[in-house]
Amino acid sequence: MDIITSKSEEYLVIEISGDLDASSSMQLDSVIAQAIQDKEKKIIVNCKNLNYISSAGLGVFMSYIQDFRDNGIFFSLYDLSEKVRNVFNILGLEKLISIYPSESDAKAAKHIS
Amino acid sequence: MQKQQNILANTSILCDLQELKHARSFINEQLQKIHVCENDISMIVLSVDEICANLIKHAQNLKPTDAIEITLIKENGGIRVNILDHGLSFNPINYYEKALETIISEKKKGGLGLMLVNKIMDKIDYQIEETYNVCSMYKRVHLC
Repeated sequence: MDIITSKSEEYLVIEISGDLDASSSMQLDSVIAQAIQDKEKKIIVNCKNLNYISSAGLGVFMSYIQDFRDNGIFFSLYDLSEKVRNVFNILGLEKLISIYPSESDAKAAKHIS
Repeated sequence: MQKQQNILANTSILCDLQELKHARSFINEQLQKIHVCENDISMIVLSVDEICANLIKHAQNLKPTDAIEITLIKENGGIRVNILDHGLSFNPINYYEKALETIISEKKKGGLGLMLVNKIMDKIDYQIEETYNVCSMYKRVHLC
């Protein structure tokens, strides 16, 4: 798995490629922890090249929802493949984590997650 | 009803998180060979990954050089996967699922894997023997 972070306007964009499983999830965990420490207020995750996600990856996102709520951080995922999105849907996590079709949709979202 | 079982293939992985991708490739390749639909393959791959990851992370007496054995079986319109390990027993059937909001407020990273497996697979059995454990999971599948 590879992670690239970049700034786009006021957004921190985290781009994940490859397989997000128990062996790689801590890498994502460090990136999100750093973003919160850096007081980023708008974080969007590009999942276009995310090939696979297991509960370890879901767990990383879930473990920061409370921090996003407490710190008023807008956090969303976008451009998920049907296969990856299905894993979120199995547990109903799409109701807890904002998911948008594209980067522009994620940026256009008005609400705070 | 009498079980009609046909062993498709077996493999083993080492007790190391880096080995999970090999388990996923194995399941993927074998189920593609018998034309199981893509969505069912993805779900079985995920379930095997979750059970193996749990064993690797939580079985206290397993060493990275120990093996986890995976057997794929075609059975009555579905697929059975047997996952055998020699660690301390951990029975996923007795696992207590927490509410999602509890996981969020506790900021826990774990606890979702067995929830996924319980939702995906039609049946999960766990057999604990003196020197080994077998997690046996079954799912009905569609052929494409």
